[in-house]
Amino acid sequence: MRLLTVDDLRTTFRTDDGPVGAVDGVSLSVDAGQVLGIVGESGCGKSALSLSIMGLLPKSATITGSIRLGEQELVGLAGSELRQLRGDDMAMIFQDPMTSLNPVMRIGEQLIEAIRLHQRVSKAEARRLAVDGLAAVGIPSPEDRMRAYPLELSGGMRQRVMIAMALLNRPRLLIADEPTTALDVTTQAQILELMRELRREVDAAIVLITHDLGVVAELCDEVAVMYAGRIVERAPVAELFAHPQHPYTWGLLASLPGRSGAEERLYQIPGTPPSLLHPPAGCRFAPRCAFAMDACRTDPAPLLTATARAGSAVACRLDQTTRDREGVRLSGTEAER
Amino acid sequence: MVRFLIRRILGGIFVVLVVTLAVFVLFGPVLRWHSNISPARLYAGKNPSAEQIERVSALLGLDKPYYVQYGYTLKRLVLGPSQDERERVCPGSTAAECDQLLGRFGSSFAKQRSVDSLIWDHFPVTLSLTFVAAIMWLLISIPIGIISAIRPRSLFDRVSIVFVLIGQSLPVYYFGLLALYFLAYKLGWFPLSGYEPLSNPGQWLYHLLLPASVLALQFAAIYVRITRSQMLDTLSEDYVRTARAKGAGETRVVIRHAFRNAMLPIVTMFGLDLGLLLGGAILIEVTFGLQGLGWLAVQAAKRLDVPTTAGIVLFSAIIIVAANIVVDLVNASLDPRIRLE
Repeated sequence: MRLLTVDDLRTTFRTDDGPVGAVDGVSLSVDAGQVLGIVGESGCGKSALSLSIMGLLPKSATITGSIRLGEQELVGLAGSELRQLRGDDMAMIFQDPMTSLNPVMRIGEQLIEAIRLHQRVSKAEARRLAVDGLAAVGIPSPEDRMRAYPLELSGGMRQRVMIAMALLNRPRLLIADEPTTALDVTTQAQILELMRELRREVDAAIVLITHDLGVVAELCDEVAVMYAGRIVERAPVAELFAHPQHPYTWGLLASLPGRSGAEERLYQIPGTPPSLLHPPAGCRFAPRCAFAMDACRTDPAPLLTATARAGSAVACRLDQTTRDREGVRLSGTEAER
Repeated sequence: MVRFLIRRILGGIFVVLVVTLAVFVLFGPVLRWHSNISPARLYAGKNPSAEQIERVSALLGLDKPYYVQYGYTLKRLVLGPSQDERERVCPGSTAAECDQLLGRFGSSFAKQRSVDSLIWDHFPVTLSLTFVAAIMWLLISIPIGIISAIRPRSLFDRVSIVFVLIGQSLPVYYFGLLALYFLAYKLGWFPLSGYEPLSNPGQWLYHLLLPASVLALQFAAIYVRITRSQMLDTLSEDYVRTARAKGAGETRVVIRHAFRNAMLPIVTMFGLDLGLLLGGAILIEVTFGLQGLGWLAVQAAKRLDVPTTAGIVLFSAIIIVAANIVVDLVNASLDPRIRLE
């Protein structure tokens, strides 16, 4: 069942220097029970995309296009209606658990608030649900933790609390914005393991925002690669690693450590991402792309179109043969698989 | 938490000790050396003979070395006047009569009364003024500060910034005089001066309203500014975004999540300001003829009433130290980050 449908979404921030198109014509969809990974480097618009869906953008932002949750259109929805959906039908997990919980409120108070904003239950009942929620994310002695303040918990425990809070009202859509980035490596693995378990239990559509392809490989069914506010490639996760189609994806894969021998320098995509204040005219990756043709720089960028590979789509002018050949060669995936 | 409290109280006692020493040195040896003013001379009346001064010196214990005098001053502050001093200062009077003349803070020779009784007579005026003004400035500034922060750069915000500027730059004695002239003298809405005790609450408030408003306006300006900046900071915090992501309404987000965090530094400032004002709001009290501690201090200084001046300085210091401790306690109760460290 199709749960989230985003169609030609454009999110623009008003700044002192002019409008910045953080999200520029993004379309995607996620089914219930499916995990869609959105990958890209910092500033590519992945967080702006997730905040657009949740309706949490600052006042300086405007959005056009369409975001549908089930059958309901979210763009243009009144604030109060959107508020009723937030935390109930759609929930979000944020990047930094150290700052995402209110430091002067007890964990229990924050969880109970989340429940009672959306469910008509007694305080005692909400309390019971909150304890269950903490237990479900693997927090030991949840009764005691209810009385704790955030500073009494480790980063990993706080992120578990954030995850529990997001799941309390059984959302249909869960957006996780870099849920492991701020954690140390061991804790990252634990949180990923937890998310993998939860994935099986909750029948929600999950959008996982990350810059970590390792996380994508572990958790996602499908991946969308974002560059400078646009999706440049979309594919089932195995397909993306086996046959990456977009030169930017090749660069991302090539720059992963541990693929080309320990002693070698990590690969680096030449150049830097473009300013979204004055983006390049044609394909936004063209200035950094080794395969760019004249048309790439001058003509409007190609739309996301299906490739010969099953379920995959790419926004690139290169022909299928070149993409297949160079993709395997440059991203070094053949050696790994 | 108990250790924290004990540490703060010990620290407070140390500060008061330092202040007593400073007060003693300043109003004893320094005053004598600098202006050739000695309490004995002042106490002895007009044009005293050398013999009279000497007798008064012995009476007040001023013939002893300074360290003995200081030790006794401290002892009197803690335990009250000794039997020996009572007999010297008020021979042949009952204990109750002597209490009127001599207290922990000493005796005012100008008024022939104990400094303690003077302070307790005038302190309620300062306390009332501070109380009414504090309620007024909080009620004015916190809502304005919050609304300004929610709508930065709006017309409301800009007008409130002008208000802050005016409030902060008008000296109270000038603004107070203007208010007195127009609102009290010309329009007759308020009394020109004076204080009514709390036993008559209506008159009490009526007499305090104008001075408290003038005082409150000045503080409200500062509090609008700090509330606004604190709210702007907390409103951009991650946990405020989390609250919104939960589906909390704007009022709940602003009050329960943002303001609850923003008020911590405001509480600190409020406690310190209260302590400061309780030591006497000199300019306001003098302008409006309110006979509070500040007014008393000015009177005492004019008359060279050294024990009273010194007593008020010491009393204010004790209040400020106490306010600091209370602020720490309140902060600890509001903020687990302080409590649990």
